[in-house]
Amino acid sequence: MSLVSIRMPEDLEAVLRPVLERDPDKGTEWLRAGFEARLAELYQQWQTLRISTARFAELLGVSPWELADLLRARGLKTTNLPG
Amino acid sequence: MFVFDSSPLVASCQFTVGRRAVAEIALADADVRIPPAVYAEVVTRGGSRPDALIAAGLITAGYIRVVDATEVGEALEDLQHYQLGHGEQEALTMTTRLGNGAIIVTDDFLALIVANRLGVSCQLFLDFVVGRATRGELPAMEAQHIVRAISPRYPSGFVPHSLAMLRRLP
Repeated sequence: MSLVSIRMPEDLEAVLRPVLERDPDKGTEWLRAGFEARLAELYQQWQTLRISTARFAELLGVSPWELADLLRARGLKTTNLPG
Repeated sequence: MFVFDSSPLVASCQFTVGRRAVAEIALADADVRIPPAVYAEVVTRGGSRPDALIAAGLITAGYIRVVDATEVGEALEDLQHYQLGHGEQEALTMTTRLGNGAIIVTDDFLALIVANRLGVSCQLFLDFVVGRATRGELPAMEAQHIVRAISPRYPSGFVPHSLAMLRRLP
């Protein structure tokens, strides 16, 4: 696992910083949970045609290739075609 | 002529028939064009990924022509009502402006519906392959191999239907 720096929202800092100081691994857990929740939310919007495939990738911040990889790795549908 | 958005390009560069990418076989000698935003999504954002390099190679080899932004023009006003990506917006705009004879190829169901509402000819990538075989531009056997290769991507029904259409060809 690599170490990356991310900006902490000011309004959350007072809550998050003490937790991270006690348990640095919490950050990894939050990152994964947040990403998976966003992916699930956008996947639902995509499957119900509220957003398109390219928009799905844009909102998630990934390339269309990475989106296809992410969906395949989770055993999810790779198109929003019905059926 | 065919205008691709990123969805069929990604799929056709990720699946292979033998050792060749589906795109290399399916797009040979077809008049395929992409707008700059699709280029950005597929090639620029793809970076040095092997599948993205296949797409870049198809452009370099002339299989796919990247159309200048001035040819695409401003995005169609009607598209603001939908949550489409930049590539899909430009592909739909470009196909509309090219008029009769231009077909957008997309595997995105929302883009397909919007194209239909705009009165723009549209096809799934599977239909692009079946169409090329029907016109004798691609051997039917090769088209069947392509359809089988990309089958994991499609919901049930689409692939057996495509294979049945290909088997009916003389």
